Amino acid sequence: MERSRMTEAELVRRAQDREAAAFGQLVEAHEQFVYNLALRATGLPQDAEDLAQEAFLKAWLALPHFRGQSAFRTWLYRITVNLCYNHSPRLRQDLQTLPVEEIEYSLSGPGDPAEDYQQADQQAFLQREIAALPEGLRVLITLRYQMDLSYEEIAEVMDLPLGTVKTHLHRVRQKLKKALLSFEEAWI
Amino acid sequence: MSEYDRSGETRADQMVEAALRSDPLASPPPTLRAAVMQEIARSAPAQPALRPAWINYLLGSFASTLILLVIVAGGVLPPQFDLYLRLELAAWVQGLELRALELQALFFTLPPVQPALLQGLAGLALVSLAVAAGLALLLVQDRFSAAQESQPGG
Repeated sequence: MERSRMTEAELVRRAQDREAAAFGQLVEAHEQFVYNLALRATGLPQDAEDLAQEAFLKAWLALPHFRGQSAFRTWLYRITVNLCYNHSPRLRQDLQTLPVEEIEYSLSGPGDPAEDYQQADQQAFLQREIAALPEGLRVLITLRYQMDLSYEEIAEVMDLPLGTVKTHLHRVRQKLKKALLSFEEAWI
Repeated sequence: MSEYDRSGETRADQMVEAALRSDPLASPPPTLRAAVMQEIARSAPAQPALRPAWINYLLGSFASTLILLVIVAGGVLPPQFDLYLRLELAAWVQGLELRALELQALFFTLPPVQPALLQGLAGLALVSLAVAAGLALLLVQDRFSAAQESQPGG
């Protein structure tokens, strides 16, 4: 059967029957997201590669027990996030135990005005601000905006209360907006 | 808030949304997939994992019960039954043409044998009940552990 005609559910079923080629296609489909989740959580490419590899291996070993109660990608991302939590316990603490008001969103502000003006690009400014966010928040952003997971799915993947997820993402948007407006005001 | 401020806020919201959506993803290392597949090939168990299903428990329990019954019967059956078995064995080994009906007639004329049979049957019923209860327990445990294992990560 051609790969394009094979659904993910079919690939998962074949992989559950220990068909390595089918699992290889699942790896190919999800490797970028799994790698980027690990990269956002650790900030180190080498660690991210090791974690991504471990996540896929763990998924392969656990796949016979996967009952399809959640989407495969949600299940896979949760494995990845659990490994990230084990690798960086601070990641979970930051998101789970600290009230959101106490998390420092280390927004850098306009920085060098001349340079920023030359770039004349608010998007570039925002990208820098996003890159400066704490790892946990960057993971949330990746799950929400790059992987298009629902809030409920993110809560499941991150093992966080739904309200915490919503609050974090709302506050991130508010902080970024505030920073952007301040950045623009500096040049009016 | 003035109209100008409101439009500025809306525009800022849109820009933030766009920036969040366009936060670039890094390309995974080109060797990642190959490394994963290599690890999978290496991790393939030489022997399949032992995961007995309920039918395995059932058959195993049935066989164990039979063996148990033989042992118990050997201890509780009267000597007449032992004699009967020895006659059967002797008849089979020596090829004597003793008909089963004749042997049974001999067997049932011995008074102590019938109560012993009733006791044996009652014992068998009790053992069957115990086996059924054990099987139900194993089945529940098996499903519970499978459900736990299906939880990813951790």
